[in-house]
Amino acid sequence: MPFDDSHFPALLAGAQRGDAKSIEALYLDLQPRVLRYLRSIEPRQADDLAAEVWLAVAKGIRSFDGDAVAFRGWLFTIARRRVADHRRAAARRPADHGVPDDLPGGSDPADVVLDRLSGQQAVDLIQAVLPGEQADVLLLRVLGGLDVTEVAKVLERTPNWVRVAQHRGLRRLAAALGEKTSAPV
Amino acid sequence: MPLPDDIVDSILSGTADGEWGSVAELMTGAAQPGTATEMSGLSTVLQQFAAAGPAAATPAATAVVKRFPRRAAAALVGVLLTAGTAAAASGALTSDEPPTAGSTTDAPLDTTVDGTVPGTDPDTTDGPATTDSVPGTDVSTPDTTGDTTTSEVQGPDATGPAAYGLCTAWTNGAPKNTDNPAFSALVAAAEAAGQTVDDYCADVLEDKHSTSTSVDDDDDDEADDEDDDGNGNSGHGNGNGNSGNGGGNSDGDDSDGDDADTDEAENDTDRGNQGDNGAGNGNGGSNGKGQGG
Repeated sequence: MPFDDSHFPALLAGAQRGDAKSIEALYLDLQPRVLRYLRSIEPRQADDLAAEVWLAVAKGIRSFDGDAVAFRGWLFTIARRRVADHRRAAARRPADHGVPDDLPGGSDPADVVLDRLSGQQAVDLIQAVLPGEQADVLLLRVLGGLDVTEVAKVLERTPNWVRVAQHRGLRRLAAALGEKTSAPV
Repeated sequence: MPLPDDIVDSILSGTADGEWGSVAELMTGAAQPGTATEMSGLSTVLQQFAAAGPAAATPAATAVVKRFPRRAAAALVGVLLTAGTAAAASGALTSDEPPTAGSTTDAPLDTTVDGTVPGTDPDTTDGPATTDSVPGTDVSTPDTTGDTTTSEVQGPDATGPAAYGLCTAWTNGAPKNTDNPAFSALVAAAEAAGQTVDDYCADVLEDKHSTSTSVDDDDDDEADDEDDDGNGNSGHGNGNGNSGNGGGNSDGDDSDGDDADTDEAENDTDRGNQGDNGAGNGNGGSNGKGQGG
C-alpha cells in the first residue's frame, strides 16, 4: 500500500493528531519494508523488533518534523537500534546468512527464478549474497526508499562511502545472478 | 569509480535492463508491496498511537503528581532543571538526536515535566526537544485518543522518576520482555532520546549515582516511601530523564557493537541481579518490582 511522497505531509499531520486512517496509511506502506529488513538480519526476533519500532514511532511522531525520506530514515534508524539492543542483550553477533534453500529455481543465486521471489525472499537473497554493509546500503535504498545522503546518515558514513558500497554491492549481485558486468567486483 | 547515480537509480527502481536487468528485477522483488501477513498488527499500532497521545498521558501524569509529596516534587523539579540545564549546556539535547527526527526526545520529556509541574501545559513544557518540530495545532488535538486502558498500556514514565528503577531492572538481569509496558516505555524513552536502551540506561544510572550525592537525603526518603506502595511509576524522584539524553549517542551504527559504555553496562547485567541491586540502593528494588508486575 505505498503512498506517494507528496501525500506524506498530510499523512504525518494526521498521524500526529492520532487520525487512524493516516496512521494506517503509514503503517501499511512502511511496515512491510521494515519487517523485511528486520527479518533479513534478525529473523527470529523481527516481528517483535518491528513492534518496538512502531512503539517508538508512536511515542515520537508528534514532534517529528521532516519529509517522507527523513521519516523512513528515522524508522530504519530505530530498527537498527532495536537490532543492536537485541544483539547486545543476547550477547551475540549477527548471524551469517546462507542463501535460503526455499528459493524458486534452487539455492544457487544464478538459478533463482527472480520473478517468482516473494519480497522477503528477494531481501533474504540480497542479504545472503552481499557482505553486511553492502546489503545494508542496498536494502536501505530499496526498502527505505532512502537516497545516498539519507543512507549515509543512518549508517553514519559519508555519502561517498555509501556510493562505493552500493557500487560494489550491485556488482557482486550481478555476478552472483550470472550477469556479465563490465567491471570486476 | 562508483556507478553514476542515474544508473544506480535505474537499477534500484527496477527499470534497468541489459547487464543490470537481473539485479533490477531482484530489487523490484524486494520492494514489492507488502503481503497481508506483513501488514498485520495494525490494531496494536493504532492502540500504541492512542496510548502515546497527550490525552492518554495526562491522567497518569496527574496520578504521579498526586502521589508525590510536595517536597519530593520540588526536589524533582530542581533536579530536572539542573539536569536539563547541564544537558543543554553540553549541547546534548540536540546533538544526539537523529538528523531525521530532531523530535525524538519529545515523548519522554513532555510526560516528565507533566508529572512534576502541575498545571503546566504538557505540550509547551517539553523544552528544547520540541521547539524545532511540533506545531501547536498538532499537539493540541489528539484528545480523542485517550482512555483509561491506553494509559495502562503506556507503562511508567521511563524518562522520569521511574527511569532509574526501570534501568536497574533492565541492566540487572530482568527478562527483557518488551511486551511489558514498563520496558516498552523504557525502550520508547531511549529511542526518543536518540539512544539504545543500554546507552540510555548507562546514562541514567550514571546520572543517578552522580546526583545522589547532591540531593537532600530527606527527599530521597519521601520518594522511597512512595516506592513502598509498589507503584513502578513512583520512585526515587531524581528525574534524570533529561540528562539521560546527554549520552551523545550517535545513530544507526550501534550495530557495530563498539560502544564501550554499553558493553560495560551489559557486563553489569551479567554480574548483578535485580534483588541485590534493590537492597543495596533502596530504590531499584521497589521500582523493579513495580514495573515487573
